[in-house]
Amino acid sequence: MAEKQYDILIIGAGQAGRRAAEGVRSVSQTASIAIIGEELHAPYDRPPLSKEALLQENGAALCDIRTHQSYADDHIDLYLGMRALSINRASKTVSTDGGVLFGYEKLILATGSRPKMLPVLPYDDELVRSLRTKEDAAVIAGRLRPGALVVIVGAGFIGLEVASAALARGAKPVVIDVADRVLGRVLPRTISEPIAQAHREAGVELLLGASLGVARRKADKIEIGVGDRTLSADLVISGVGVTPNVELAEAAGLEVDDGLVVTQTGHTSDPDILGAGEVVRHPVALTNDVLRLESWQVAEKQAYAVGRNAAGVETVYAEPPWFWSDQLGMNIQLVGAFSPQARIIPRISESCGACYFAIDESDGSGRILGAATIDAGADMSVARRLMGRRIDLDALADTNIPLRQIMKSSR
Amino acid sequence: MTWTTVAKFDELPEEEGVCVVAEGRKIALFKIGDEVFAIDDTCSHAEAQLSQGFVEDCAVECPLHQACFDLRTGAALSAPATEPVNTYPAKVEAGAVLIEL
Repeated sequence: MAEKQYDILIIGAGQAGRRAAEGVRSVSQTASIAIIGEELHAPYDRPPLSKEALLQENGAALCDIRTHQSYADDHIDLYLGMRALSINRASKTVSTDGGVLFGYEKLILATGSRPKMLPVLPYDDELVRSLRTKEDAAVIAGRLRPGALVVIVGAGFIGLEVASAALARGAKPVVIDVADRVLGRVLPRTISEPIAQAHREAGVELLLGASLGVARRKADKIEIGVGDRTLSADLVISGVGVTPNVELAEAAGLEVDDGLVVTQTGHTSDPDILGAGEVVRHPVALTNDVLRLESWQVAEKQAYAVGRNAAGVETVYAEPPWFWSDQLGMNIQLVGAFSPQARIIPRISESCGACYFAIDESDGSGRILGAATIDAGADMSVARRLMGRRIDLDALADTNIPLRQIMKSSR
Repeated sequence: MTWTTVAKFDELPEEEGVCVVAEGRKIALFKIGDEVFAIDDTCSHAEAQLSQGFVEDCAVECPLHQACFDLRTGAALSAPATEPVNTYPAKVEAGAVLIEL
């Protein structure tokens, strides 16, 4: 017999857990809701952790969207510092390390991800850190001192944002990646190269196509081998991607394949269990693909839709992926995807930034499948509305024709 | 509270923002049909200029993170913004745009 029974039980007290609860509440004032989370904090958004939290005193406060009290006011019970141990699908219960057994009508798994770890880095050393939590950000912020050599492993968005913060704090960032360019996982070279160039010009050292050797503690430094060099780092930050926290789901026999596999409504292979946020692999609009996306948007919007579905109001999540990054004073946004086969049409102007479109040429349809902007956010607003449409590509390539006009004439 | 002339109505672009400075405050003006709406130019979420944002259905989308604000009320209509922006009463008189500060 469960000790605590809820209509909707959510495992994972991150942004996705919060949004799933809000999705439930948006359609049911009466459903009993609980969120179980391992961190001691009420749910918080993570984007500021690699930006404002490293740059400003109290910048991490931007992560806090709601207060503890607001959950109580909304009758959403938070069980923090508590770990879910197992799911019993037959009895519809979840056991926890707090000794409490929870019963559910519907269960939402919003267990998120954890940073990947490289075998060559000594993560138990206080000078080596991943960036995932408020605690990580606080430790890193405290060590971004003027003159400090900060070695960042991984030239993805997190790595480049941390490099940008390190530079702003007067530290000397060195970014290392095994790939021969930055942002290789998400952007084509045409777009990643100007971003890399901006980093080099600002004073970030990029060591690309580099093999990481042994890293070990020597006095108050970490000595780390890169190619034939040895760097003596005051701080090493590892930003090499994440691993989805699928262990609970897997042990419960749910379908897992590099993420918890869910439908467009967030349902798993068990009708009473749904998945929300970046732990899931879901059908992604415009891609014909099932993907796991590590982004604010999935946590914010997919999870909200899942909450509504758990409460019985069918809501399909079908937004094209959208992502932003702020670094070196630049705003970078990406919608959809840039496949290697896509034709890229750039629109670049001195005064209004750069906007790139990915055009599908595989079936001759010329549909827009992706767009990226650098300091051209208003263009992104239009690009998002053009996704999946066929438009006049000659007009698109002509920067004298405003995007908004192209959008209107494509209707 | 005084009415201050900040622009000429005919010189405002349709469905696009313009930033004006009045009494030291940066204010974004939006012309929608016969009306003008005035809100704070700085987004409540980050250092972004709302006058540079995309306008649709009497709302502006912040260029940096796509949060939407209602031009009539200043309310944040979508995340990541959670706080509203200030609005200012605006009127058009004899071809001039006035806002109350």
